[in-house]
Order: sequence, then structure tokens, then C-alpha cells
Amino acid sequence: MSSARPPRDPHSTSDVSRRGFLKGAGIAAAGTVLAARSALAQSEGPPGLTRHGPGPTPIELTVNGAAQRATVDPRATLLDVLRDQLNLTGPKEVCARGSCGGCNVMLDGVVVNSCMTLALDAAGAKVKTVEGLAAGDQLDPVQSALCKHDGLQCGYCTPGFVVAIRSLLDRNPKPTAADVREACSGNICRCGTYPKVIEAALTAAGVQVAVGNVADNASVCIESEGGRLDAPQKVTGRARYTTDVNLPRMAFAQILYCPFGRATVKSADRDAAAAVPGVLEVVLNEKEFKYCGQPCGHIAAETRHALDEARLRLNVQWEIGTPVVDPVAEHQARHGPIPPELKKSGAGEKVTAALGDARHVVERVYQTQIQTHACLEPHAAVADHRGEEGEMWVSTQANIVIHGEAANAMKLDRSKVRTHCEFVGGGFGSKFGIDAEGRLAAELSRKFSRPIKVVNNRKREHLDTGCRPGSIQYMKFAAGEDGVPSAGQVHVVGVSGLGGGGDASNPDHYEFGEVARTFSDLDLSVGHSRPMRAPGKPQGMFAVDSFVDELAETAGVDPLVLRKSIDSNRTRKRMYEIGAERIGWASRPKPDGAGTGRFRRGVGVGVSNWGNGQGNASVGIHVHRDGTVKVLCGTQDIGTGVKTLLADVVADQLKIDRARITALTGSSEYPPGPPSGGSVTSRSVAPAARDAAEKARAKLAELSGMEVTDGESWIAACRKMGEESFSVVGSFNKAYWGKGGSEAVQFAEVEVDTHTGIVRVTKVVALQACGRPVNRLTAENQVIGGVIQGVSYALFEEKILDPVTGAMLNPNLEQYKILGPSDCPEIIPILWAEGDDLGVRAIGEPPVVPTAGAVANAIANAIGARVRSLPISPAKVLAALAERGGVA
Amino acid sequence: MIPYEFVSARSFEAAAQLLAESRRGDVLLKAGGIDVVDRLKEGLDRPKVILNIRGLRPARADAIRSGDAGLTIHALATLTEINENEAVRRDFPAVAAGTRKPATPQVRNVATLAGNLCQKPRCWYYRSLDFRCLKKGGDRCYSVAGDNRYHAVFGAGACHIVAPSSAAPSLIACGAVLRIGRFADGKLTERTLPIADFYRVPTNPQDDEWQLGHDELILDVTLPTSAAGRHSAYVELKEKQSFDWAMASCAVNLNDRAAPRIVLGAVAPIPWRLPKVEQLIAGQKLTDALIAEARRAAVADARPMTHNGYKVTLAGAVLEHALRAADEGA
Ligand SMILES: Cc1cc2nc3c(=O)[nH]c(=O)nc-3n(C[C@H](O)[C@H](O)[C@H](O)COP(=O)(O)OP(=O)(O)OC[C@H]3O[C@@H](n4cnc5c(N)ncnc54)[C@H](O)[C@@H]3O)c2cc1C
Ligand code: SF4
Ligand code: FES
Ligand code: FES
Repeated sequence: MSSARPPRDPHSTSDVSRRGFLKGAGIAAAGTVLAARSALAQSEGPPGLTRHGPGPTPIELTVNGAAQRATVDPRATLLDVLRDQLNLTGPKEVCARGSCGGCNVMLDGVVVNSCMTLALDAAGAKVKTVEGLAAGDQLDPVQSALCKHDGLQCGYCTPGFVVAIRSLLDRNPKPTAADVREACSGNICRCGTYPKVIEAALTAAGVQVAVGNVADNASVCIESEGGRLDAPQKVTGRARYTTDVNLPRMAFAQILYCPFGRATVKSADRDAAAAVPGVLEVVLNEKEFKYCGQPCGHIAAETRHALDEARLRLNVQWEIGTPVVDPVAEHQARHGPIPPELKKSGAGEKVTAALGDARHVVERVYQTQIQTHACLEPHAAVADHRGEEGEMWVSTQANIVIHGEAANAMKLDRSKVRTHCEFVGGGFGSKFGIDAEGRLAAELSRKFSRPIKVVNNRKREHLDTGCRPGSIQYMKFAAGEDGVPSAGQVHVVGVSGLGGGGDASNPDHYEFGEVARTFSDLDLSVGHSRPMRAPGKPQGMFAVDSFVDELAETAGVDPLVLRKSIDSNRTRKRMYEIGAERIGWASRPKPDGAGTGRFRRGVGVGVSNWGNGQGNASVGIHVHRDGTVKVLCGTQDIGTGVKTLLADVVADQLKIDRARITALTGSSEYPPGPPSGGSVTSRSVAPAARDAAEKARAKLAELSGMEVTDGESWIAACRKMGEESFSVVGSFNKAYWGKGGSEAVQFAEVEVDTHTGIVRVTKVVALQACGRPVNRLTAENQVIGGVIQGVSYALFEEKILDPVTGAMLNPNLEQYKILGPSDCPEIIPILWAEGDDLGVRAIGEPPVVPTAGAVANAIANAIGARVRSLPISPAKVLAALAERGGVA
Repeated sequence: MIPYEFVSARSFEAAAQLLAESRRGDVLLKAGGIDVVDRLKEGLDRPKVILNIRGLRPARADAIRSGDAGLTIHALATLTEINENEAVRRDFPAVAAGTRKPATPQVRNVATLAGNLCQKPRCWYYRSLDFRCLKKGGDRCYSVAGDNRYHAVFGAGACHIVAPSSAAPSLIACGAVLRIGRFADGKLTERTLPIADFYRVPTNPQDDEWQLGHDELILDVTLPTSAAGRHSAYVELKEKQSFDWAMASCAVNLNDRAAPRIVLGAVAPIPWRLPKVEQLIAGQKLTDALIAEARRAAVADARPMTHNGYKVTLAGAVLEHALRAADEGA
């Protein structure tokens, strides 16, 4: 079933004959075929036409001020030429369809999507990429402002923003915030950095803005307000991600997948695909495929054009079966109706009794959608198997895990394999292994003895690299006069792919009394679920916080008053007070929907908490004679700022200037660090870094015979020590361990257009317990990013499945809608630190949890009608309003 | 993509000649290429030749010229050039909005007016290689039993797409006239066509929703002085405010109060003119009661599908917003 061809010279060109090609074209008068072609394009056939291709054709263009010649396939986009031929990998291919701005460049002075611009259209033009904006070390003001404001996390979207903003300032040197939002409205940032990006753009323009949102909690203690360590690399496009790795003789492979929920291969033209010049191998399996996105084979080829052409020529025809896409029907068929009957004993019996004589009984069903991680850097791997040893680059959030997996996949000893992930364009829970992409790259690199690159296209990325499962959540509770629940039933239906994993954290955080809880997991014909930023929590808390408000509404009490009586967490009780004041809780409409006019304001609240786990971390420190320090940890920085944290912690512990410190992550050659999951990275790495710093100080004192107490004595001691350098390794040390949880409370304010159902979230106050925030900028950025993902989840995102075939209908960034700059609320992060705890607490995940519930409650407050299903689209808001009998 | 030959035309005439001399389907005309590249990448179109007219883009200063007949916009003027043009903003605010609201700044910098008017539909079944629907010569319209939340609520035949162009409704409302060229008798010959007559729901869904021979191309678009004034407006309703396709849109021109023009977008396979509403409000003062009546009249013949009933409400709402905006004036 596999039609392999021997490897060919990568530089050989298409052997489609030009003569045969034109004959097929049926261009009568134009059909005069010229034989050899001169180096540059020339005119022929009807007058006034210039012909190129179909084979490679030379072009000239000016890139970042330098004249360049390139030989391009007429199918190549400008982005292809920049990245693959000119090695300018600042511009990124994210959506490849003009919907994200990641590939922005300036073409003759205006910003364009280089993924939608054919290279031949850029012939003779002046192109400027992000790499061309800085003059040597002198950053463009846009770039330095982004560093200063921390307008980036993983940095994958950053080059696109830099170019969009530069282009705006060229035309409009004194823009307003609205102008910036508009100019960036074609750019997507999955990490959610928009507010900081907008601030940075205004700063670059010399417009006065406050740096960051001022956290007004007096007990906050900050060690460093220095910028993100690797920001300069990210804003200049110098940061190299896995997708940017180009190696000599590198070939490409792509995973093929079944596009329907259930299907078998009816026919495919393997020969035609294998005959495409440059194709190395075409493998297509035949069996029944059970979900949309299930891998069914792969293609390998020497060029990306050949890969793509082979995919089209393969022309797989499918026999489409009946997929499982309707969770309600599936539940009915497999588990009976929702809810299941309560048991006649134990909790079931008690709940039945409580419901029987309750003052209030509230019964509701909530539904949440499937969300995809949609990391802007897709899953990607490059494998270079060199016989005795091997090397792999993987876009991962678990460098420690992939090292072993890479060695296995390459069939080499671990000590012979190096893995890298210096920069990672987002993970959010979907990148804990080398995955199918890495396995394929490793296998083919071994087979063809050449480097192989596998980069998912956006469609496969949406279909089968993980998702936050959807849910149906049934809740029925007995409550007293004051709305306080005493007992009830919860039934959670997990809506995920094969393998389940769809549970939602319901009930959670509040005291609900006796709960009879059941759960059933449904396997739909969709890509399997994976942990996604706070797995199980946002969907659970959307339902739980909505339900608490519905209890309050039923009992006629203020939802915040009810929360205070059913929430025993002391930190949150205080957060309620401060947050309510900041959002203007007192002026919310009473009762719900009490406002007038077309636009209605509403305010709502939601909560979360996060336990504090521990990952295994060690941190290495090299100390050099000149007093500089290199800090190494084999964890990875997926945008959270771990490198920055390492440098900040070591600088703080040693009392030396951070400029003396270089921090590196993302290599199997460094002391092992934890995977980025469960929000443990920072909190596990920080104690190990402090421990390493203490060891370094002790060792230096010993070597130099001096007492080392501060920056000055540090340098003096380094000069005095006998050695050129020394190294120490620190590991987890309980003394630096953060205790306590990461409570969060969020208040959202919305404005609902009652004519159209369009919701705008105008403001979110996000209170976040965080132990000791090491770096204010990166910590605030995590909170802001969490809120933005939460709003995006609440209003826009949804994996839409065709009800008949199970195909995902929006596998792109155009119809899979991710919140953009113009939809971004004002966000006020309040970092909540208590006492003089030196420890770092988890903040990666908790801030994404309360948002959807807070937004849903704010909408209900605004319009007096409730949408119980995510995303809260205009269609659903209009339906809720209509059910209520229209607007007053 | 499948390999193709890339042919750049140095004049409309040369382009027209190549079109005239080639078989339908072999040559794909490309202007800015935003839509064409998207279709090529998906594999929907596999032409032998890309006929590129992007090089015919005039200098920015020549993209829009003012003359006796009105403002003439070059077919290859970009949406950005149009919406930043002073005269367009002043005299045809609806057209300025219709070229500023769509897509993203980057796309608008490249997308041309003619390309916008002749872009293929965005139906998600159509845009996916995985579905061979009626419009692609298949045996069914997948949207009927499928997810049709963004599909048509008016005027659909067997195919239920919505007209994608954001520019078209306001051009119709402003009475624009197209100049169309083809190669005949050894030279470029021209005809003019009011854009109001350009869009038609085809009997065969495989045909385009516009009236253009395979050998014809749009040369320019003229906005007549008679339609100029402060009182035109274009409003789009989108789920997401940072670039999104409209769920419903509406262009209104009230500069001649006796003969108002009203066109809905994104709700029917073609821009959806509302003649009954035009008659209803002709010469009238726009009172709340009249607007309410207009809303009712506008949606009287709506035929929503299984998932898009909300678009009927939105059609009424967007009509009201555009009426009020045009009434007030820019
Ligand atoms: C993310 C994104 C969002 C978008 N949102 C919107 C939106 O909200 N509203 C909207 O209207 N559009 C939107 N678009 C579509 C975009 O506006 C169109 O694709 C673009 O206007 C097409 O113009 P072009 O010059 O690039 O056309 P091309 O891609 O070059 O051509 C499009 C079609 O027009 C034909 N054509 C081109 N020039 C002529 C001519 N002179 N005579 C005859 N036929 C011609 C071509 O043959 C081709 O079939 C969006 C696109 C993207 C990528
Ligand atoms: S609406 Fe038209 S384009 Fe879409 S599936 Fe139906 S026939 Fe195809
Ligand atoms: S990669 Fe070009 S716009 Fe997304
Ligand atoms: S920083 Fe924008 S996508 Fe990660």
C-alpha cells in the first residue's frame, strides 16, 4: 500500500514538460511554445503578456534593503520564499489563509499577509520583514515598547503585530487606542496579550499611557519589574521556533487524515500522487476511520509544493458512514435520559428527600462546546537521524518527556539523542509528547537518512491535536429561603472524542450540601480531548457560577450575598469585597434586566481556585570568572516567562544585577525541569533556582575565601577564585516552596445590544492569588491572557461539526473565532499576595476558569434572560430574549 | 496546489485577449489574489494558467478619478484606497463603509474592488475540498441537512449561499455602473451595466451569481453624481468585532428621498434589494412607526432554514440601523 520512490536530489526541478503543459492549456493563439527561457521573465504569445513557469522561475526583489534573487515555483507565496529560501523566519505561517496576521510583512510600504501574496506578485517590489526593522542592536521603538510593556508571551504572533503597528505609525504617528485596535484587528494572539500590545503601540507613538494595570493591593511584593528576558529575540523575529528550523537536505512530511466522523476509503489515486516529482513516499491505510481527523497515512516529499500537489493528486474519495455527533441522542441511546434517576439509597435517597420538602427547587441544564487549543505554532517536529546519533526539535511543553520518546522513535540510546525546544509558540496542554508528528519525523528521518520536518497545517491542528471537551451539565438543587442549597443532583456528560476524559468540575468551590453526582463520558466521532488550560474547570465553573446566580435569582437575593454564605474560602471572601467595588457592583441593574434602551449593561461574578502541585526540577548554574552567570534548566518556556523567572530569582538570591545573568531552557542537555502542566513550572523551578544560587554562593565563598553578600562582593570573589568557572546544580528545596492555593475571583461587565444579541465584554476585574509574584509584568500577563481566553471561550470559540458527516466545518482561524483586539475588554488584573511567603503559586491556569461564568452572569443581569450554552452567540442571546418575551 | 503557468498581463486588452482565446476553466483571472490564492490552496480551483492583472493597479492617485459622470473607481483599486479617498468618504459614505468594514487591514490593502465583487461564496461546504456540493457539480446542497447558521434566509434556490461581498450592497444603493470589457474584433470592446442588474440567482447553481461572460472582465465602476450626498450608510452586524463575516448587513441611500435604495447583504445568494420597503418609505419622513413597518415588510418573505432563524431578526435590525444612520447623514 505504500509506493516508495528512491530519494532524489532536492534541487531537481519539476519535470512537467512545458510543451505538454501548454498544449493541455488549450490556449490557441498563445500556444506558441518557446524553448529555452532567459534568466528573467520575458514576453511571448499575445502581446502584453509576461509568462512564468510552470517550473521554477527567477525573480528579483528587495528584502530589508538588500537586493535578492531567488528561483521560485510560481505556486510559492512570498512567505514561502522568505522563510524557506531567504531564511527570514520572523514572519510565521499560522493560518495560511489571511486570517491571523502572523505572516505580516510590508510590501512596497503597506502591510500585507505574505501567506496570501504569491511570490511572483512581489517580484520587483520592496519587502520589509520584522527582521528589517531593527538597525543592528537598535530596536525599532515599536519593538522596544513591546519589550517594556511585555506585549508578548510565547511570541509567535509578535512579528505580525510588530509589522502591523509599524505600518500604522508610518501612516499615523499619533494614533488613538481605537486606531491601534483597528490596525491590529487582523492579528490574532492566542496567549491573549492585546492590552499590553496596545499600550506598547501607544508608547512607541509617544502617547502617554500607564505601564501595566496598577495592582492596588498593598501587600503585593515584587522582586523584579524588569522585562521578559527573551523579549528582544521575539520582537525582532530572531527567536527560532521548531517551525523555523531549516536544515540542509531537509525533506517534508504531512499526516493524512479522515475528514469525516466515520468513513472508509472508497478510492485514491496513489500512483498519481507518487508520480509527483519530489515525492518520497505515499502511504494511505484502508480501514474504517472512526473520527474526524483520524490519521490515515502520510506523504513525504522533498519540497512543500510536491507534498501539497501529491495530497491533491491522491484525490481520496470517501464512503461516508454515520458519525456520532449529537451528545443528547448518544446519551439517550447509551445511558438513557438526562438526568439518570436518583438512587433509592445513600446520597440519592437523601437528595430525593431534601428536594421533596425544599423551599425552592432549581433545576437547570447547561451545555458547553468543544474548544480547540489552537496554539499559533502548530504541532511540529524536525528529526535529524544521523545514523549513530540523532537530534530532534519539537514544539513541546514537556522537553523532559520528549527526549525519551525521541530516542525511542529514532531507535537510538537516549545518550545519543539531543532534543530542543528553545522557543515554543503556545501549548495550553496539547503538547506533552512528540506526538504523531514527532514519531513520523523520526521514523522517516531514519528511513531516508535525511532531516524530516513535519508541521501540521491549521486544519489538522484543529481536528486532532486535542481539545477541551464539551459538556452537558444537569443540576437540580433544593435551597432554603435565602437561596442556600442544601442538597441536590448533578449529572455531568462529557462530550469528547475516543478515550473520553470529558469530566467537568461540577460541583466545585461552593458548599452545596449533599450531592448525588453521576458522570458519563461520551465518545463522539471527533479528535480526542487533551488537558487544556485548567482541564475540566472552565466548563464546570460556567455551569456552577451560572447556577449559583439562578439560585440567587429564585430566592430573590443578591448573588454576591449568596456567594459569601456558601463560599468558605477566606481569601475569596475578601476578594469579593474589593472586586465588587472595582467593577461597580452596587450600580448593577436590579432586578436582572431592569435597564432600558437598546444597549444594556450588566455585571456578573465567577470564581476559581487551584491546588498547588509540584514538578521535579533541577537548575544548573555556571559561574564565570568575569562574574557572569548562566542558568540552565531543561524545562521549556511556552510563553509563561520561565527564563525570566530563573534570571529574576537568581538575581534576587545573589543580589546581583540581572544583566549578568543568561538563562536558557529547552534542551535535553540541561538539568531536567518539569513539563509545563498543572501550573507547576514556575513554582517548581523557582525553589530549585534559589537552591542552586545558594549553592553557587557557598561554593564561590569556598573557592575565593571571601564572604559573598551582595553584587560587589560577588564580582570581587569571582575575580579572586582560582578557577575559570565552576558549576552547581540546585534541586527542589522546601524552604522556598509556596504554600496555599491560587484563589481567583473575576467580575465582568458587559454591554448587550438587545436589537442584535451582540455582546461586548467591556471590563473584567481579575483578582488572582499568586503567592509572591516574581515578575509583575509576566505574572499580570498570565492573568490577562487567561481572562482573554476565557472571554473568547464564553463568546466565540466552538468546534462546529457537521451534523450529517461529522466533518469539522470551521477548521481555520476565520470561522473558528478567536477573540481579537477589538473584542478585548479592559482588564484589571489584581495580583493578590499575602504575607511574606517567598513561594510562587500557580497562576497559569486559574485565571481562565472564572471568566465564562462571570460573563454569562453579567449577560443575564443585563437582559433578564439567561443563555445556558456556550458560546453565547448573538443567535442564542436573541433566542433567550424572545423566550422572555422580547425586551422591555 | 497543482502547477500552473503564471501569466501577467500588461494591459486589460492583453488580458481580455488571452481570456477570449482560452477555454472556460483553463485560465483563472487573478487581481489581488486574496480569494484566488485561498481557492488554489484548498484545491478548489486547478487552473492551467493564472492570468494576473494585479500589475495593472494604477498609482494610488489614479485609482479614483472624478469626472462628469461621477467618481470612477478603477477595477483594481484596493479597498483601502477606496475607503481612504476623500471624495468617496464625503459623497458616498456607504461605499466608504462597505470597503472599510470587510476583512482585515492587511486584506483590504490587497483586495481589489473587482475581486471583491466577483469573489466566490464562503459557504463552508463550498470552501472545503471534502464536500462536492451542487455548486461544485455534486448531487446535493449539504447545508440543507447540515449546519446552515450562516446561510441564506431570502431568495435561495437549490443553493443557499449568501453573497459574500461587503462592497456590493452599497455600490447598488449608490447606483454604480460597471464598465465591462472583452476582446472582440481585434480589440478591447466595452459595455456598461448598472450593478443593480449584475447579480442574479443562477438557475444552475454551478454558475456564478453575477452576469459576466468567461471572457469578460470589469474595467471600472462609476458612482454617479446623482446618487452622491451625506445620506447614505452601510452597517454590518458581526459576531466578532475584530474582522468577521457579516451575519447581516444593509446599505441605504436616502439622498433622493423620493427614490430611496435599500439593499441587504449576507442574507441571500445575491445582494438583496428591498423594493417594497423602498416604495413604503419613498418620500416619507422616517418615523419610528414607519421604521417598524419597514422592518416587517423587509422580512415578510424570509424563508429561514433550520439554524438561521436569528438572521431574520438581524435583517430587520440592520435595516433599522442603516435607515437611521442614512437619515441622520454622515
Ligand atoms: C480573513 C478574511 C476575511 C474577509 N472578510 C471579508 C468580508 O467581511 N467582506 C468581504 O467582502 N470580503 C471579505 N474577505 C474577502 C476579500 O475581501 C476578497 O477575497 C477580496 O476582496 C478579493 O479581491 P481580490 O482582488 O483579492 O480578488 P482575487 O482573489 O484576485 O479575485 C477574486 C475573483 O474575482 C475575479 N476577478 C478579479 N478581478 C476581476 C475583474 N477585473 N473582472 C472580473 N473578474 C475579476 C477573479 O477571477 C476571481 O474569481 C475576507 C477575506 C479574508 C482572507
Ligand atoms: S449552499 Fe451552495 S455552496 Fe453551500 S453546500 Fe449548498 S450548494 Fe454548496
Ligand atoms: S499566516 Fe498569513 S494571515 Fe495567518
Ligand atoms: S504571544 Fe501571541 S500567540 Fe503567544
